Amino acid sequence: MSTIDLSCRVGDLTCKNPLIAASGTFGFGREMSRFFDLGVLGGVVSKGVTVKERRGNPPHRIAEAPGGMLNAVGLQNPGIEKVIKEDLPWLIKQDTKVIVNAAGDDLGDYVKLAEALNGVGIDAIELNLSCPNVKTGCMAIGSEPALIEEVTRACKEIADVPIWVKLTPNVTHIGDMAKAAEAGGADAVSLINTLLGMRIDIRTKRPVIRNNTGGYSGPGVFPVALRMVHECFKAVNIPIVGLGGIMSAEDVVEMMLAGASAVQVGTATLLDPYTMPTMIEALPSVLESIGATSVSEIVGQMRPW
Amino acid sequence: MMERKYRHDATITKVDHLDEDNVFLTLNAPELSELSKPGQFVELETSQFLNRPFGVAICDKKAGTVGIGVRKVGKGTKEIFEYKAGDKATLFGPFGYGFSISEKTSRAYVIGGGTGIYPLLFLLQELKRAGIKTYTGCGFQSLTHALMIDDFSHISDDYLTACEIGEADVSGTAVDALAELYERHGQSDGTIVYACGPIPMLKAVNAWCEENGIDAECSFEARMGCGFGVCRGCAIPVIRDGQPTYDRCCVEGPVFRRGVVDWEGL
Ligand SMILES: Cc1cc2nc3c(=O)[nH]c(=O)nc-3n(C[C@H](O)[C@H](O)[C@H](O)COP(=O)(O)OP(=O)(O)OC[C@H]3O[C@@H](n4cnc5c(N)ncnc54)[C@H](O)[C@@H]3O)c2cc1C
Ligand SMILES: Cc1cc2nc3c(=O)[nH]c(=O)nc-3n(C[C@H](O)[C@H](O)[C@H](O)COP(=O)(O)O)c2cc1C
Ligand code: FES
Repeated sequence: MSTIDLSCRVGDLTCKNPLIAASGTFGFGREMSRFFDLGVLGGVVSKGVTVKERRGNPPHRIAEAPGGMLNAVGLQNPGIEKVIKEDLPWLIKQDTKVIVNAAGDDLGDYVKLAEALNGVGIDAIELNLSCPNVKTGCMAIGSEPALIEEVTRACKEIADVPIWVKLTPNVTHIGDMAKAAEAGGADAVSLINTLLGMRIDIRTKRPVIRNNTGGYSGPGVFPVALRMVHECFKAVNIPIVGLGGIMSAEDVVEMMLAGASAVQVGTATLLDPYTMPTMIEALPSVLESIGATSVSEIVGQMRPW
Repeated sequence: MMERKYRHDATITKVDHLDEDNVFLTLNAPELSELSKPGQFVELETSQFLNRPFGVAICDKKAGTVGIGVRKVGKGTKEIFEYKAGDKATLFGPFGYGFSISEKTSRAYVIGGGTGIYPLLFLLQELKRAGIKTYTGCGFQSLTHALMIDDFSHISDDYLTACEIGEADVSGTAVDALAELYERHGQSDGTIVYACGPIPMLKAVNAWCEENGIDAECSFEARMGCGFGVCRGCAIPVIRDGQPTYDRCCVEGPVFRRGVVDWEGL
């Protein structure tokens, strides 16, 4: 029996372990429940939800790239009303924390989403101020500190659950974005969303992805994500949820050493649906190997030169 | 450690190179063969980043084996082409909504083109088991490209090869073979067309079925991220509640009733 304590805290939220499923690679959880009981996870972040239904971008939505993939799904989802009626009741019954990823075109949308989610029984809202695959909102807001602060504050005033702000890496100084979220009252920041990228079919001279550009994710972004998590760790006092290219329990530990209080796993799930349970099973022995007795004690313990 | 029901660490028991570009693999994977239904697919791990989807082409529950036919088209399939008997392979699945075999079905026209022919073998096996008459037409560029003719003619009640170039049973496309088979065997209550192949072929099958008032189930391909419904990468245009939208090729499909597909949007 391992005596390693895997529980972790993100602000007021306590998770049984630091592994949270990232948005957009876990649906609303139901499809994943045929693989394993979601109760093994620290938490689940839903697919990005918008006020109205969105049909998403035309195909191709996916392209491969060295060390990962590009996607431009375009936030396909049934809209908040349907999600609250049909998807969340099942998800909140699972023995894990439920975080809803909320995506809007403007301030009004984010407020509407936060309001609609009051009383539903979820554990937190993650404001998606970072999706690169839609024309308006999201990343456009997440690249302007003033807008980040304004949207965060407005949602904070209305919501009855903690507000996490998900940041885009497609900015010059991500620490400034984290500071803006903190100023707006965010309970945590999560980062990174995907890096804006592109692939071209050399025969047709057309971008592989119909949206022309797409978001790059997977192990190739891991070093960038680590650096950015550490930058935010130095910039703010609120907890950080680290993600981007995590593929193994060792990566989880590395991300937490950089300053993450918890992590999210995205693309790795697409390659093997059992990857999160595999990481959770392996985590105690990795922690043991570095002489740690709990996950929380390693947060931000990187020793810079 | 937790059970991993949909992950299969299989051994390749047989490798048949059908021609320079096509290989048929038999894999020892008892749980996979137990779970598989015709029209479903597996995700095969290669050294490429994303797993590669292939329709289950043969399923022998007694022997605990499944077979897949693979055409060499790019980096992942090139690697698969080099596999040898005894090699290990990791697969996930079976995934997707396959062909439905209704008790009302009395006769089935089974139409394939390109790599779309492979999953039809498993379908034919199950149709035969259900006592349904099967009339099969497969289309190829030329007779030298034709694959598995013996397997298909053996398992079908009638079988035609169609080729656009050179001498074959039918000169033309898979749809011309369908028309010829229909001429021979006609329809009764519970006639259905099953089709798997490239989009132009599926479009032509749909147009022919429209003209002749016959229902069809068509199996599609899409770029896949996961294969099990969580990434929404595999969009197929459909009409739901009168509105155009996208279904997931890996969950609502790969097999779709022709009536739900947004053929204009493809
Ligand atoms: C449900 C389903 C069933 C399939 N069944 C079969 C089968 O039985 N036999 C067979 O030979 N092929 C089948 N395919 C197609 C097969 O998956 C592709 O040929 C294969 O993924 C190409 O990989 P590659 O690395 O060789 O090609 P590359 O061109 O190097 O791959 C680049 C990218 O394109 C994707 N891709 C390329 N062509 C296709 C395609 N036609 N469909 C989907 N993704 C593609 C790859 O997955 C990868 O992401 C099926 C596809 C789907 C979706
Ligand atoms: C197919 C796909 C869909 C995604 N959808 C969303 C989304 O709806 N909302 C969001 O905030 N992030 C979305 N993301 C981004 C991921 O949550 C994550 O931030 C990013 O992929 C980096 O982590 P990873 O390398 O572990 O995947 C998506 C990523 C992928 C690959
Ligand atoms: S491939 Fe991921 S949802 Fe279909």
